[in-house]
Amino acid sequence: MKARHEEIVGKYMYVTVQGIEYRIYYEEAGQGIPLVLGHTAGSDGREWHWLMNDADVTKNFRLIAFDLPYHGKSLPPFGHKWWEEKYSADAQFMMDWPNAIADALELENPIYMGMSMGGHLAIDLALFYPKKWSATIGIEGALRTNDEYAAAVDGNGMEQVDWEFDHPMISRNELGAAMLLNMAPQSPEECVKECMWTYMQGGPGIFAGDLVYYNGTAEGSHNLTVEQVKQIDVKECMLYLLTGEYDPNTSPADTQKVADNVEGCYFMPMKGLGHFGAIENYPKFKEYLMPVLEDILAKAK
Amino acid sequence: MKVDVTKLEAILQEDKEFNREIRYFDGTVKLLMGDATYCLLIKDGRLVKLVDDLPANTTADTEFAGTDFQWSNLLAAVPVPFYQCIQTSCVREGMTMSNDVKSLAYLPAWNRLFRVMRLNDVKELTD
Repeated sequence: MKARHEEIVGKYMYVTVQGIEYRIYYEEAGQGIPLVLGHTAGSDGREWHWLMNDADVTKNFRLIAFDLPYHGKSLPPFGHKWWEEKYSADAQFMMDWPNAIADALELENPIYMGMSMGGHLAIDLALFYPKKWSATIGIEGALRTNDEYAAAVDGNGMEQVDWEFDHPMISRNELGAAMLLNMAPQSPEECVKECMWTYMQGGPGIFAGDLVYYNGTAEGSHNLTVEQVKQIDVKECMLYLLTGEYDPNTSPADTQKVADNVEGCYFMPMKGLGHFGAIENYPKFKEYLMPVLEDILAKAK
Repeated sequence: MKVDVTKLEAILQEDKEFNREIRYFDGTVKLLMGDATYCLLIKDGRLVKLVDDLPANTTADTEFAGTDFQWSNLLAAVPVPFYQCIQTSCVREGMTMSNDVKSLAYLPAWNRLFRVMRLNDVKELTD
């Protein structure tokens, strides 16, 4: 019997960021407007496989999902003694990656879409690199991660994050289970478990290192002011925001603070979804994403 | 909140996911639910006994605590934000759980425990 194949094709490429050459894994599907997909903290591009298999999307968009170094199938850089260091990501490192991917693939008028830390990053890119991106889509983005959540998880200076998520005696099994706190109770169990599975497979300390950028308490992390986001010019780089009602890290109320201060941006709270819309319940997520993609298509014409 | 310990014990002892996730655990787990206190006795990764009528100050390896209101929300068929799981309920809604290596390492088992209680509508088990 002939095997059933998907459209998704995976490749490796060499990209230099901040003076270090990395061998990066990425996947592509579809054709049309280039849409670069950023994954969540501690996970990888597999989060997008539902989207990348959706013909309603791939008929008009060239989807590019990349694994950050140390994530998924992107190995740590060869020739660099990464094992002697603690992995820690700041905003510049995070922004450099999608920018480098867009340059390496010579994308014209690309769109960026990211979830969780990728959602924060969508706002950063619209603010700091509006000439590079024609639009960005932030899923679960905010000025900063919810103060109440960051304080509870973070404690003082990332101690609790490191303790829980980089402790040699606590396995990745726990990290996967911890992601339940981000998801909606209505999401299908198979999808919730799949999301957790990707989290159970990351390298030691990588999720905690990504949270340095995400939680916003460290210098150089994602922590924007109202005055900063007011500078986003949606005529230069359109900003779309989607946030799930069950997201305890960046609730719709948190995203609303961005939407209220970026004139002309688009924001839609997502009922019945949590932090991982694209993987925890894709059919529901698609209901909210398609109007955004249709708007992008209409503007492109 | 009152729980039918006999029924819940039987359900947990037969639950495949809970038995998988509780592997190798030796110890006690306390649930402080309003004025009621429950304790799971676990030996070699098997639930041996679920007991009630314990003093609230009974010590255990892992403890979870909340008011009746908080437990009702956590165990609702479709919980409102942010009662979707025990950790969210702790971080955002004021419930508490032990914060030590052993308790966190077994988070998958605790998640299953509370999902089993939710799916089996533990509040009605006393009727």
